Amino acid sequence: MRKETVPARNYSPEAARLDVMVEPLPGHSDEEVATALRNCGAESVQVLAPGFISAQASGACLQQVEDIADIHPKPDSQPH
Amino acid sequence: MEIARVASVMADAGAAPSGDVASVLIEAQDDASVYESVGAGANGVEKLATGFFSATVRGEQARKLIDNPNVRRIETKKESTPHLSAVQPEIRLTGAGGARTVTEDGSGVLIGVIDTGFDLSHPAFRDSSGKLRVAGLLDQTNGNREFTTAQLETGWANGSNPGSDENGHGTHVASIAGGTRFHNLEGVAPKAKFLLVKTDFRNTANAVVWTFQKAGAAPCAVNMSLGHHFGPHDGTTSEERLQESLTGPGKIIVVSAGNERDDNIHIGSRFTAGSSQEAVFNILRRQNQTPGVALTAWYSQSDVFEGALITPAGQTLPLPAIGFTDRFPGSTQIEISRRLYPLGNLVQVQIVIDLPFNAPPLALRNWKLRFNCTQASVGRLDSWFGNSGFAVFHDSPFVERARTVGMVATGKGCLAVASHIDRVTWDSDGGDQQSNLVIGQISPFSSVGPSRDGRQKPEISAPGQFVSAALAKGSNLAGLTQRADNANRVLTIEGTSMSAPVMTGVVALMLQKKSTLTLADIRTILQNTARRDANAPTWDPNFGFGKVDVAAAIAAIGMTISVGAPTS
Repeated sequence: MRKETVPARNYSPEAARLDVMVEPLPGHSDEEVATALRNCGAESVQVLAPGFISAQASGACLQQVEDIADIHPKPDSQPH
Repeated sequence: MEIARVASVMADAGAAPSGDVASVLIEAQDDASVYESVGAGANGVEKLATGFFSATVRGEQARKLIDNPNVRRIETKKESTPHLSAVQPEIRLTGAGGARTVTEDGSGVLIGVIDTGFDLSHPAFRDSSGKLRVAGLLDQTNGNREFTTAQLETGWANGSNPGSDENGHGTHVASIAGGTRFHNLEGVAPKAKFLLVKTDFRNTANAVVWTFQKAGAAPCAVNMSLGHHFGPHDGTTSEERLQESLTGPGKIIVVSAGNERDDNIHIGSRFTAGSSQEAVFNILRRQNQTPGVALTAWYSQSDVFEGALITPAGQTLPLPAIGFTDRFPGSTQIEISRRLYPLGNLVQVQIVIDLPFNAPPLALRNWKLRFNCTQASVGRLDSWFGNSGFAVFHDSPFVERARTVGMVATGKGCLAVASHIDRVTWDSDGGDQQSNLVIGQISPFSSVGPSRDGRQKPEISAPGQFVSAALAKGSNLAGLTQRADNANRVLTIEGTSMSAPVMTGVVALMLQKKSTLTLADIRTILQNTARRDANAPTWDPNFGFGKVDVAAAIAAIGMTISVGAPTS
């Protein structure tokens, strides 16, 4: 099988749109990260609580903020 | 023979084939087949769900239905005896004669429900004067549109039906927590008001934030009868930590523990240096979806593991070095990555397998995961499929029932609720139903604790087996003949989805008595008042602290509460 090795991320940089939770790294503010997200085309950017920002963004956009924030794709839940 | 079948159908219902009428259930490939046979707009024809109808028919109409090749089945409705829900006596909310044991009814408290949608035409959502008891609704499946009470009243009067429930799950769940009395059934907190979120099942954290913001200063209990297994199960994910920051005095989140007890969704074991374990799994074919699965595995950064994914064709794909992802493109796409997870001092292994839609059966079976431990300090490794229904591990000592409580129920900012059996009989369109389960035991599906990091999850158990509550008209669940009682708009189903809203209702009663109770207060009260079987430990991985006892919990609020007692 053909193999490609790339740096590990918990999101795909090629993704067209991802629902993510973004947490500013120490030394970076919610406002700074939210602005960076909006500047790279993210939508539905919302500070849910201090330190927790919800957004919809492309993988390319998320790559631009990964130096100032942790990125966590939101998993899909199921009814129990 | 066909005439005989018509006669049988009519005789079943105590009617003659010539001119008398019978109430029947019809299953058909399309709506037109039914209307063609009994006449469009015929009196007494009601569409229950896609492909399911209820009708009152004469002999000639029954004959046409039987002759119609697009009608799959026609059967007479069975007489059934009402079986009152056993939830309320089981949790000591009602005593002899059905009288409530506590004066609290949820007045002044808001119940948030994050679920599939809500049939607001059901009497469970309306007060005695017919007005909606819903303070607001957010529809995440429709551009995050918000609806006020007035907009909901208008929308449900004009047929636009905002927040409607095509599945039926959310209507049932909400009415368990706070439904107004109907057909001898009543929610736990029938005077509370609802804040409802029809969720997309991804932005559930946003839903909790919206609910608490709408509640403002009012006490509020939020119910989440949902979950997943994509993460470390230790309370460290962003959604779990966000919930910790959102909960506080009068703001409580209740989550179903999960139904994965026997789903073979989890492997976990202790390793010593030099030991290895292998797990075999099958990927499941899902209706109208491409087969595939995502799984994660977690171990301490102080341990060293190597391992591999082995395909059904026997190709061995070793785990990459930490910090890297190996991608194997092709008709079957595989991605294996390994990275540090600093929040829990863990290493995360993630494997994603996507197969083509028409993958042959052999391509789905006998995938293998192998882990070798070369250095053991903690020496523990756990792995879960992202959710149930995607893949199953074959039985082996590596498969564990323990640690199957889902996420976000494993979070530190919520109550996780297990399910036990409180009844074994119920009625439905298919007549009286009976199960051979044993009252008092844990439900056969209820996920088992503790969390991966050993905390006490679930915290409490409530009745979640064969719970009768509101049926959403026209929903998927309305077509379940053995579970739906369409005439009375009652549905009987089971799951920790059903036990969680029982507990949410109980929390609403507790918040009515003392609106500033915190999650820690409630945990302490439950720990001190839950009913435990003889010789049961203070905490049990099936039942948590035990079976909830409303009367005792409410009574304990009047007594001294030691705030902040830890649960682990």
